[in-house]
Amino acid sequence: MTRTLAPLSARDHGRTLYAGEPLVFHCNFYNYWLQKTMLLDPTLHMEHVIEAAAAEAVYAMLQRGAASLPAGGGEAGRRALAEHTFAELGFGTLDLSRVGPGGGTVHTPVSHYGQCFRQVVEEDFAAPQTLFDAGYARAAAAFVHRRPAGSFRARIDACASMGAAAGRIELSLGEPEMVFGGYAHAAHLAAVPPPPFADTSVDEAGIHTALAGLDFSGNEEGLLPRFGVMLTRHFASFYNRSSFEFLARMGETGLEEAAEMLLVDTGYRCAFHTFGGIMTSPEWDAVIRPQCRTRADWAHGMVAVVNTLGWGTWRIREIDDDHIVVHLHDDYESCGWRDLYGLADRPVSHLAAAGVAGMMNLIYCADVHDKPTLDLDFYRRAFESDGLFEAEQRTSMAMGHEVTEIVASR
Amino acid sequence: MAAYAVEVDQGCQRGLHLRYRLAHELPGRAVEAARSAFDGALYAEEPLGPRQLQRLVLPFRFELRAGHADGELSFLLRFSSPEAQRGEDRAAVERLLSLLADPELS
Repeated sequence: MTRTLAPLSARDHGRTLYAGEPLVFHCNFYNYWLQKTMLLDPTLHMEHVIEAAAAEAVYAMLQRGAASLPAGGGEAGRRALAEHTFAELGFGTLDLSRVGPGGGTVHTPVSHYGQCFRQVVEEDFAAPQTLFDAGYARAAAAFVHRRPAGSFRARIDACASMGAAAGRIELSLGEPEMVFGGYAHAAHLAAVPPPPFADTSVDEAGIHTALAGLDFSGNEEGLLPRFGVMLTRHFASFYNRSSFEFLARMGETGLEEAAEMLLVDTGYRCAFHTFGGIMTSPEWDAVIRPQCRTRADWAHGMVAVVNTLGWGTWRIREIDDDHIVVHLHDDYESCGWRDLYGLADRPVSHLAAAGVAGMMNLIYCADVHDKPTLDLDFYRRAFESDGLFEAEQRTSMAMGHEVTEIVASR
Repeated sequence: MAAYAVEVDQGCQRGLHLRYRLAHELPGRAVEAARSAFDGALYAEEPLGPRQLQRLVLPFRFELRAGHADGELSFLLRFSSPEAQRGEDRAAVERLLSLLADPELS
């Protein structure tokens, strides 16, 4: 079946836009840990933020995407765009057929935040995890029925993360708990072009060409199993809005640094599962491993892959057994902060910082080249032992610097 | 000697992704044979550097992948497939692998 989709376009510095919305790849393990972290303290009411952040990004994306539909698409075309985008980006399958201008029921037979989260923990959750789906459904219904953002409120009546066979979300007209407004975003900040890739046996351009041959669209269930993990091609603005709001809410009680540490820890999960999954995958063996002679080459190879994830462009400026210096051009966290809040007074690239340190831990401390099983024992060895790499954000594009510089050392 | 060895991939869909280790030429032949054996299966090839990936999808039931590694066949079951159907499909694929590995039958 051919999907009704908006244009996908490549931009400088590794950014990819879908209907003008910056996309980034992340896996179900990272998505699970990030959400778990944000929901740790129930008094923060982050469930409203997560749902609203999803609705904000999705409504903006769909409104812009409608411009690519013939004659605006009509109601059927708008519905197809909303449903097919959900599947294409790896979120699952969404059925809006029982939603009218006054509300109705949204069905999600398969959901990344439902079934795939349950796969991570291998047991039923006590509360619904499909907050992103609820926000998506709210925004999609408003878009399809030409109502303003925030017209619908959502109630999750069934969730696969809790063991239900499928998800069900009830939409009704009315003010939701939370709506973000005035949304605009910048996918590109850098005035300084990235220097050429490092002088190494790793061929970044060749790796990008090879990976470009793979199909990264959601399958018929709307899921995206690749590199040994379940990927989503997600909205950078969703991660930024929810993560930064988490920092702000924690900061109100004097816990901003603790919140930053929690986000770094979440980033370690990303490094472990996504980077670890990639570096132990058949795709890595086929394309990248043959180019690697040293551990530093493994880092260059991983950076070449990171530069296809939509996270911005990374360049390794220095590397040895005990330290690495990485420059990030247009990292999505910095771009997002500048877009949402203007100049920052401290670095904000916590996921990227954890990614740099995590990559070094996997390569230099935990011998990922030996193809370990990515289990809890290996996680403890790679991320909870003595003498591991720790990252420091020396400069930040969010603060107005030309690049974000991350140094990791042990 | 067994026609194949199988392990459950713990990293992806947990119990839904199985990796079969086979004789070198068998994964590609298995995909071809399954393409004939299952009505409604969709087939695609993807280039990956020096390799050519083969993907066979039986919508909402399972996917077979070959070509990503020497002697490996990936079998990915779908969430939508009921437990009984998953068991039947796995058994059918393993029967097919055994047949292919038997020089007198293949």
